[in-house]
Amino acid sequence: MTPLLEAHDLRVSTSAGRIVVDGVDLAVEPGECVALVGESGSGKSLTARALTALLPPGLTATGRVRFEGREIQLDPRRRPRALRGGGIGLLLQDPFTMLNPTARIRVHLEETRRAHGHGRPDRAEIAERLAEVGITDARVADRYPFELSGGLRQRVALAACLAAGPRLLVADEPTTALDATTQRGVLALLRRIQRARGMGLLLITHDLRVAFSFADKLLVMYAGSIVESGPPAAVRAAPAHPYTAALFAAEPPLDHRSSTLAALPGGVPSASAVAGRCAFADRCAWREPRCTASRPLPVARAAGQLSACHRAGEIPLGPPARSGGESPARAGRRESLLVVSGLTKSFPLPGRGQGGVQALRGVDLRVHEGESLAVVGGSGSGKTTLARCVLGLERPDGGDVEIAGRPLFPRRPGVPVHRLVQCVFQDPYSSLNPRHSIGFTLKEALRQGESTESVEELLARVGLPAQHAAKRPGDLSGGQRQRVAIARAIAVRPRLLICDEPVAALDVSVQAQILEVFRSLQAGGQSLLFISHDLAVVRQVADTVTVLHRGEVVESGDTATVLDRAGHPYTRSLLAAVPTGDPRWLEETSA
Amino acid sequence: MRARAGDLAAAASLVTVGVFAVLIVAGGRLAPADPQRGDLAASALGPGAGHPLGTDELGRDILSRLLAGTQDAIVGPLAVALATTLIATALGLLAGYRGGWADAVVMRCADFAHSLPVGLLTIVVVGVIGGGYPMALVTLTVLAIPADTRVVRGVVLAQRGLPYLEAAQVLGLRRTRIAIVHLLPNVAPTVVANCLLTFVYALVSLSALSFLGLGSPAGSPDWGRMLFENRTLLDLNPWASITPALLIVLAAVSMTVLGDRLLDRALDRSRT
Repeated sequence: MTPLLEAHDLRVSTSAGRIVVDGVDLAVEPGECVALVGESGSGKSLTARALTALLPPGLTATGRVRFEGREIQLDPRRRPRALRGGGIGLLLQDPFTMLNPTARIRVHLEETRRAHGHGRPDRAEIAERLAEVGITDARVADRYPFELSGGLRQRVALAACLAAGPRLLVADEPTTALDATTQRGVLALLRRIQRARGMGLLLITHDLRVAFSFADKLLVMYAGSIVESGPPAAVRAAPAHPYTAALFAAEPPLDHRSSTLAALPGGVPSASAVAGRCAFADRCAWREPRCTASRPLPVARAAGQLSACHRAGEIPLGPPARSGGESPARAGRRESLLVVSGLTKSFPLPGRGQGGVQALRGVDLRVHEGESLAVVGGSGSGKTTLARCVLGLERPDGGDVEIAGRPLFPRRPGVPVHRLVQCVFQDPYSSLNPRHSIGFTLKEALRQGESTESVEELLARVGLPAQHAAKRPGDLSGGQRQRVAIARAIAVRPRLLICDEPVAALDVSVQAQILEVFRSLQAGGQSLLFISHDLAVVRQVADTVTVLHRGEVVESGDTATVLDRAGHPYTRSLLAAVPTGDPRWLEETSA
Repeated sequence: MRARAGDLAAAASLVTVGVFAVLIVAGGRLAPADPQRGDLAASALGPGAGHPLGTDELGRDILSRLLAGTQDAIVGPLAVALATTLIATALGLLAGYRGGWADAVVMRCADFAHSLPVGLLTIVVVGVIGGGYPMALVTLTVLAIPADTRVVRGVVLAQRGLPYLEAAQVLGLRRTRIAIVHLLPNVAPTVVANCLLTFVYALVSLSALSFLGLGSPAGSPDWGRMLFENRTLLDLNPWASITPALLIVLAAVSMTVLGDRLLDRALDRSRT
């Protein structure tokens, strides 16, 4: 059987000659789902863009790509229009910007149909198309994109892609911008449609576990080249490349607190920096001289696995071993540090008069001295509003917030709140002032805390070398920036450190490094209020968990108790939404 | 390809601006003749020996007058641009970052000033009230402030929701410190670019006023006034009126190109 899509030696480079994708070979059979997994900077998205002839200006692709046995052009200007959408469809990451905000949903579907030579679809046909993606409410066709939730928008975008009847669908991180519970529904739907239509699917994802449960074949990409490929079950049972093993090990487990989070040192290098040598050599524990001397070719291993490693077969790799047990019992001074009681907050909706969105409906919670409390919930659960109220960035409508015995509202003079509570924000790319050096930022924070510590000591506490003080945020990677943000927060020596999704914007291997930083702070007695949607991350850092749903606390207790024996249905749905890496994960849903 | 053409224009503009800077400092000394000394026997001569650009009606050397006039031509608009930028940036930061009543007051005043016909108002103020050149500078400054305030406020609003400002707030820093130390450097690229464009506005407006006989005193080697006074000599010595016009255009275009380029880069940076 000829493969549906076959790419050989696909390369993408900038006009300045910098290589971003360095010789990728891949094949997708009809009706097969292939997952391309990699961290940011691995070149996986650009590979997808090259295949769909949608590279951004300044980038050019070379190589041989065959679609249904015929060679196709990589040059966007020479790609036949019939092939776009109808032959190869593309589903993008962000459902919020992907749809035209001024066009009704119906128009999005009509447009793709008509662009591919079909007649204008009638209402019944549009309703059918929407039903295929699980939208049974036919009125959605007359809505505008902004009236729909992220999950619905992604379904509409999928329906618009499918309307052209593509033989191959390239889905670039289709669920990354969605809530965890929505993600599972959309993935299950994608999987079902792909099987029903016999369509080829190339799924681009950063999440190894999603790929494990979703794909028929797995490709692991690193710094512009594919380092391992094979059937998911085989890769999961025994990764053949050290990078796959490390990536797998860096994923925090949901079912236990691992004693050490296997963190890969450093970050993903650029493809040009590692041309002609093993891309992973610099971070590999098994490096030998030959690894930096030549690029290893893919070597066949058992069960259809290929591994681009000189030492494939020599090094003992396996699935991550279960390590450690539950959280170390900290000497609990059981004094309350943060007491939140009956907290309410609503936001006015423009044009709705009074009322508006009720973000918090009487939230009670308590953080003890030296304890780490995680507040979990999906988007819209009110967890960020809660954090902002405690930080004094929002004024609550009612209820009390008390830190170390001092009430926060109404504001009283003489209570320097910033000495009591500090924050690490989600996005390390915008939480540091791009115009100031790291040293300036940290010095300012130290001054605010009247601390005698030096910038160097502070940097050392978060695992950064002293010379970073002279750099600006733009010179640092995401993980390094988040370390700086943590350093800024702890410079004041706050009693309570609030972390609002501090690892959500980071790659898996970097996430593990940052979680280790938090653990070392905990060991030093720091109290944490940890906001997260990711229960596997929460398992690694929190002593107690509070589950927030639509502004109300639905469950709280010890981390192990809540996560292992969840009582509330909402908690259970959050738990079920965490990818397990098992193919059954997507079968069990009825979404 | 387009980027390269843009770079070339920006480089050429930078060189032009550099030449003007030299002329501001040394223009008077570079003049081959006394710009004010007339020679009625040699009036309205075309370009020739001794007078590379010819003479005007009173026999004064055009080249010397142009060179000597550079300082007045550039320094006035520069003062307008700097004063406008300073005041508009302060108001824009206040309105955009403080918000609330400060925003309401500043912006309603700006709206009001925006609705005034700038050119007409300047002519009326300078022509009727008098006050000459200094009054023209003050009027232009006052009238340029609303538009610039609006630009700065816009950039501030785009920055206001960013976590780095909230982080500074959580650190317990004072509002004024946040505005000056944290916010200002991030709006500075736009402010600088906008300052250049204000300069162009002032240069053209002042030249227009001089052309109308307002602003600069009669007989001064002002480019706008030269354009006006020498327009009657177009058939005798066209260079007497064309060259000052060219200089005005050259100064305005080079500063506009430079300002646009800076603004583009500022926007690019804020996007990444």
